[in-house]
Amino acid sequence: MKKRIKALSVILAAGMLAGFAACTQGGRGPGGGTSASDDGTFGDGDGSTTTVRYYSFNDSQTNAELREAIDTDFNKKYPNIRIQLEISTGSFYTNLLNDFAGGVEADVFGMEPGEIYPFLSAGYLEPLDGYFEKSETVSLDDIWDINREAYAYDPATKTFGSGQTYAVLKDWTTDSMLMYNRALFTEEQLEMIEGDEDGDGVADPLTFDEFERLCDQLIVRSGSNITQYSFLPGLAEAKVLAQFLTNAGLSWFDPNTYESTFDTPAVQEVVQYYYDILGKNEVNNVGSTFYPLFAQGKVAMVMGGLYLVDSYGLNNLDLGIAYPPVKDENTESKPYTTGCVGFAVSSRSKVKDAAFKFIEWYLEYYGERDAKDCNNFPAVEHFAEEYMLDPEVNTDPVKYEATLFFYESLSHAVVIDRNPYCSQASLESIEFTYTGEYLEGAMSFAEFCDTLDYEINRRVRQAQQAEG
Amino acid sequence: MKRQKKTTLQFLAYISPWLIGFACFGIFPMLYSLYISFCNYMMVGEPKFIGFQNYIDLFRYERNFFKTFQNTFVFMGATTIFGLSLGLLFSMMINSVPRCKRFFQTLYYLPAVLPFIAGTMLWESMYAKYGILNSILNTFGMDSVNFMGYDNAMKSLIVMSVWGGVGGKITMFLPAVAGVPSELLESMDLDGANAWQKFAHVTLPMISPTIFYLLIMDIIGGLQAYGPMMMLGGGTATMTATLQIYNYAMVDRSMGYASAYAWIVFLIVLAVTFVFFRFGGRKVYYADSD
Repeated sequence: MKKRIKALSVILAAGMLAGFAACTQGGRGPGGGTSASDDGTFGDGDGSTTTVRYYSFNDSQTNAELREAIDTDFNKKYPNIRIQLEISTGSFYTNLLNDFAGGVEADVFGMEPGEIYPFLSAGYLEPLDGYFEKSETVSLDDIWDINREAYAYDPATKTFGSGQTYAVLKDWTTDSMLMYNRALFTEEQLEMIEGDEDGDGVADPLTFDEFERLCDQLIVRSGSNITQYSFLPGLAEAKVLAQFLTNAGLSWFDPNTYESTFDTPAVQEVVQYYYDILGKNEVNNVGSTFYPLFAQGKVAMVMGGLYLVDSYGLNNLDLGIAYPPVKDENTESKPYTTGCVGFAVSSRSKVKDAAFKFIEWYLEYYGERDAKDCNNFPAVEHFAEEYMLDPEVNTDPVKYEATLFFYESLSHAVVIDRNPYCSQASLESIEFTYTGEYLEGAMSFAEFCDTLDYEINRRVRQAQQAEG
Repeated sequence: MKRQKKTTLQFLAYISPWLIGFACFGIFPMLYSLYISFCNYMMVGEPKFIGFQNYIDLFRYERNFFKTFQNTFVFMGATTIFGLSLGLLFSMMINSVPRCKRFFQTLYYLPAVLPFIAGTMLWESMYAKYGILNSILNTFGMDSVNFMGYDNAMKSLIVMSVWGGVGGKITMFLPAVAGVPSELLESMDLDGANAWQKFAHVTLPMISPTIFYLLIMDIIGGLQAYGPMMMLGGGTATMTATLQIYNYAMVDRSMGYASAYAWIVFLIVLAVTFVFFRFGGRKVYYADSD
């Protein structure tokens, strides 16, 4: 008996050691588990398969649909490529960086413009231009120009918009457009946001002053309770703040030093304006229920993207859409896109061609499918034009009208301001931490700006020092 | 001597699976995080050694440093005191009605069965502007309360956490309360002792090992709490040290800074636990120790 126990303990210990050894050898490394070839064929020609690991966001419905699409379509077209779907739990990009540090990253993974910089600075991403040139189905010319602004990067000058393309978007929309409930405007006897003084055929954006007046007029109270909100941001408050700053011709950071601009009077003026509106609407008490409340007719205006129409049943409302407000008539409204979520390929992948085949397939298969569903605009531009702008495909009149307006807005779109040393997620975390304290009067406006300024600059300083 | 060496080797062989696991997943990460706490490391490139800079920045410049510890101790203290008191109170009440014991035990334990995320989402919807709690208040003509606002957020989280934890404590307290020798209580009755005296001089000392165990667990759990705050928010009002570490590590990817923070929290938890063991342990009655 004693001998058996001893033997068992030795076996257990040896097993654990072997397990750890396997972990340290990077057995899960990019393309590491299978035979692979980069000469345009996949597998070894003996019936074996090339495995492409795809690291996906944790969205169970989307991933289930993707699994099904891979089974029913991709595997038929590419029988020698096996897509291994790996789902993120927790913080997607931090986990991905961790995987890169350990040499176990997937071959293809999700990417966003606001998160791409650390991956670029470390040389983790494969430029995709050459793959698109070789592709027989998709060219970079077929993709919206915004892709270049979002994902083209020149390492020599550290600027976006030029150089090679390191990722490709899946779909997109301008997602800070002002959406309003026309019925509530009618109730309050207010004019719709439809004036077109410059005669370009598109309603002019409201100025900050006009927007503030509307916000005051549309709030309805019963005692101390708000029964109708005039404006709730919809997106993360920090993202909408960035939009207001953009439409005042400003940014939350200095484009040269990347340090915060929350200590400058011009930015502080917009910050105060924005949080005054949030304060009047008691945003700190609303929680993350902006869109459902809008769909229920309890909110007059929110900011968001085209996908909301379907997601929250906004086609049941008398829905109006306008450009985000501008500081004054001389400022251009530049609706930003925060998402542009796309694909990137690891520069260390051993199966880059197969990985690109997956991207190529996705852009084609999902491009056509998504365009027929008329939600976000698919990466391949012609699908959007072919299906989404066709009233026989896009049959819901409210959604069709919204699609036309959003389609027009795409030509004015900009990618949300990106600070390479303080990500959008960090800004949101900082803003979220202190907003309640400020809005409830536990912190003065000066302290609020000072705190945002300090917190951003600390992150910038640390990241710059780490980069050397 | 040879036999003793053989026994030692055997002992090491038996516990080697655990030892290896602990070394790899416990000791090594801890030591690595200690090293990283002296570095500037943003998860890209190699960690850069910067000496005590992270610790200096934390004490000199970190705006929320003391606030997060204040929040942590308030949360830990309140959940421990209310959790233990209510757990003990309900156990005594359930123990006094043997016929319904199972029913009440199950009833109070239900929140502990509910997955943490589901429970938190339930409370989130109850605390919302148009949630059931505000609807009840409005029905009685009262104004809505901003349950997750700056002034109320911590209280709301404490209520939620006590609700979720009290069932588990009842299951620990019930057998301890039931195990108090009835002859001791009867002899107190004969001496004319009232209910409070019986509780203070017999029940409490007899269940002190259970109280002490739950106290230590609650203190450690309270000092490490971050889940409820992360899910329900509340900003600086509910920012605990562990949540701050999470934000620095997982959102900002400032691993060196987060590690320095984590080591300070570790030392504080260690010190608090030590103090409780050192001084609290003396008050615990162990029947077989005399």
